[in-house]
Amino acid sequence: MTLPTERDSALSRKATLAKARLSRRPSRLGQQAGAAAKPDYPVAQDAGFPWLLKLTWQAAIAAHDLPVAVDVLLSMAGHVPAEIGLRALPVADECAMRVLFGKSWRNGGNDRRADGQTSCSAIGAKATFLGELGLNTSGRVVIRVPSKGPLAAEHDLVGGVLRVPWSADNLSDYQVELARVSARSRASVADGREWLAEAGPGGQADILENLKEAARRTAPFVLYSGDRQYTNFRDRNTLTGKTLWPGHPDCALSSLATVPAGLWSDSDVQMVVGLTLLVRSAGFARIEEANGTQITIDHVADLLERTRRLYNDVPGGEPVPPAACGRVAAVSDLAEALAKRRREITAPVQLYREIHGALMHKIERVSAPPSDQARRIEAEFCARAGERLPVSGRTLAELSASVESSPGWLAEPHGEFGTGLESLVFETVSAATTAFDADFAMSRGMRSLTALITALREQDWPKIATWDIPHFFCCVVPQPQASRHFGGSPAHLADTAWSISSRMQYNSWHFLVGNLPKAPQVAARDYFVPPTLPDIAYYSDQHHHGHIAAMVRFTVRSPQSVEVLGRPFNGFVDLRLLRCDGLPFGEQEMLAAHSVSGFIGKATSLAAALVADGAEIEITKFDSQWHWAKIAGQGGAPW
Amino acid sequence: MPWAKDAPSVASTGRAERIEQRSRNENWKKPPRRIDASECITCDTCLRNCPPEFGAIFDNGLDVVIIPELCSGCPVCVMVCPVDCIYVDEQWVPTEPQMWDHIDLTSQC
Repeated sequence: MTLPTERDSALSRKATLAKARLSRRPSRLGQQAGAAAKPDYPVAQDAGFPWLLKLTWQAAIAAHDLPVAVDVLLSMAGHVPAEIGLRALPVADECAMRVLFGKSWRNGGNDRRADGQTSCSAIGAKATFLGELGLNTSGRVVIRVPSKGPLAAEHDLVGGVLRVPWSADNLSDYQVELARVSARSRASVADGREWLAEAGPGGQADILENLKEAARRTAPFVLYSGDRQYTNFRDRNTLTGKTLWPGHPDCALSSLATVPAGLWSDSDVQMVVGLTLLVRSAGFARIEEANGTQITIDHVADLLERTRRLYNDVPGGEPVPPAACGRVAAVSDLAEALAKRRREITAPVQLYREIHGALMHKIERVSAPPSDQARRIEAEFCARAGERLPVSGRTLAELSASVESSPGWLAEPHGEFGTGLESLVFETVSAATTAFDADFAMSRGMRSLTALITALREQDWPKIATWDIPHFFCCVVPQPQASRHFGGSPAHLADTAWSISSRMQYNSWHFLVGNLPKAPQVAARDYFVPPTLPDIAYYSDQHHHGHIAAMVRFTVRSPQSVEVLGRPFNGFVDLRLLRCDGLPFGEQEMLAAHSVSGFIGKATSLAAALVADGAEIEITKFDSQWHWAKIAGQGGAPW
Repeated sequence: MPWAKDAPSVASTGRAERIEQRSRNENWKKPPRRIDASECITCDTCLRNCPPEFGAIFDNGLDVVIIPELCSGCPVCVMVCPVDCIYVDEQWVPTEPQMWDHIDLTSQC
C-alpha cells in the first residue's frame, strides 16, 4: 500500500514513520524520500507550450508570404483550429484581419469582403502605413493597427514582428470596418450594462458568486475581453482558482463584488455577462468552450448559435429557435433553451468534447452512432476479457449483463488479486492498452468501498472530505514498447506510469466530494464538478508539467458514474487512453472506450452493492511497488 | 494532518513575523526544500500537509512552490509526496516581491 493517511494499526508509530520516510517513486523504492541529489529526468526549460510558440513563430517567418504566415500563426502551426485564433482578436485586430487578409469568425467564417478580396491587398502596391504582425506568449496573434505603437512595447512577443504594408485602400476600408464593429461593440456593452442594472445589486452579487464558484470548481480558463486576459491558469492569475482563493483582491470577480456596476470597465461587463450566458446554456463546463477566445456578447452569441445548430441536427424533440436578436436578454433566452434541449438529447445521442490542448479550447460534439470500427475494437476487447475473467459475451453490454447475473466473484480472490473487482480493473485496462493501440491505458477509483459505504451511512461528509489521495487508486498499464518514448528505460517507464497513477488519484480526490451535499467542510475544500462527458484531446502535452514529462499528447478520457447506496457518484471511475505520439484517437475509438469504461462502472456499482450487503472489497494493488514489479521488475511486462 | 505533530516545534506566530520581515529564521539549521517542477504532478498533497505554523507551500499558476523563507526544512512534504520530487535547496534564492505581495494576504487571514 502507499502511505496511509490513517495510521496502520498493524505497525508501530516508529515503523509507520519509517515507512512514510521511504520514497514512493518506483525506481527509488527502499531509498529515503527527499534524499536524492537531483531530478532523474530533467526536462528542457522551454518544453511544451514555449516550444510550440517558438515552432509556430519560426514557421510563420519561414512562410513564403504573409497570408500563409497568418494561417500558420492562427493555427499555431497546425496544432489548433484557426477559428480559435480568429475569435481571440480584439475589435481593432479583428477588423484589420478582415480587411488585410479576408479572415473573420463572423457568419461562420464566411464574412468576406464584398469584392472577394482575400489577401493582403498592399502587397505589390505602395504602402501607406507599415503595420506589424506578431504572436504573444499566450498564443494570440497580435496586430499593430494605425492607432497603436510598436507591438513589442505592448505585448510579450514570442519573437519579433512581421511587417505588414497597408495601402491607402486598406486604411480606408479599415476605418469603415472599425467604425462599424466598434459601434456594435459599444451598443453591446451598453446593453450588457442595462441587463446587469435590471438584475439589481442583489442579482449582480448572485451572478458574481456563481461565476466565482464556476472558476473554482472547473478546469482553468484563459479568456479575453479586448486586450485584457482573464485567467486562473498560467501567467499572472486574474480569476479565482488554485492560485487565487475566493475573495483575493487580484481576482477580477472578487474585486467587482464591492464596486457599483456603473464603475465596472467595459471589459469586466463583457466578461461577467458573457460567462453568465455560457453557464446558463450548459453549466460551468461550457466556459471551457470559450477558452482562448474573446468573451464578448457577440462571441458568446455566436458560440451558442453554433451549439443550437448542433443540437437541432439531433432527430426528435422541439428544435430550438435562434435568438430573436443579438441583445443579452435574447441570447439568455437562447442559452436557457439550449440547456433544456441538451438534457433532452443526452439520452439518445452521445455528447463528447473535443479538446485542443494548446489553448485548452473545448468543442462540444455529437458523435455518430458506433460503426464497424467501434464494434471491432469492442469484439477484440471482449474476446480477451472473456479469456481472463469469469464473464462471457461478444459485446460489452453482454459482458456487463454477465457480471450482473453473477456478481459474487467481484468480492472474492481472483488470480493474483485479493478481489475480482481488482482483477477486472487490471484485465480491462491491460486489454484496452492492446485493443486501442495505446501507449498507456488506465483506470482510477476508490480503494475502500467499505469505508465509503460506512461513511455514507453515517452521513459523515467531513470524514470523506479529509480522505487524501492514498485513499484512491489508478491502475496504469503501458505497452512495453512505450519505453521507447522514455529513453528505452523500463525504470523511466515505471516511474512515468506511477506519476500518472498518482495524478489520477488526485483527480479522484478532486471529483469525489463534488458528489456530496455541500456541508461546510466540503464547500471549504478544493474540488471540481465531477465530469460526465467523454472527450478526445489533441496536443495535451503543452502546459501541465506532468503532461509534458509523461508525453500526454493524444488522449481519450471516459468518466463513468457509479451508484453507491442509491446515490450516483459522477466521475467515480474512468478509462483513459494515451498515445505519446503517432495518430490521435478518433470518435469511434472514443465510443468504444466509453463502452469499456461503462463496463468498469457497472462492475464497480455491483461491487458497491455487494459491500452494502456485507462483503468487504478493498483494492490493495496498484501502488508504486506494483507498478514497478509489473513494468520494470523481473518477469514484468508483457502482461 | 497526521504528520504535522512530527514536525519540529516552532511557534506558529513566527510565520507572520517571517512574512513581515521577508526573511528566514536564522535558527533553522536545515536548508529549505524545493519542488522540481518538471517532476511535480501538481497534486497539492504537499501544500495540504505543510504544517500551518510554516505555511510555506503555494500554488502559483502551473506550479506548486515552496517559499524558502517560510520553509524550515522539516520532512513532512517529502513524506507525503507520491513521486518524491522535493529536493533539498542549498542554493535557495530570495522570493520575488510579487510573490510576497500574494503571501502577505495569507498572514492577514
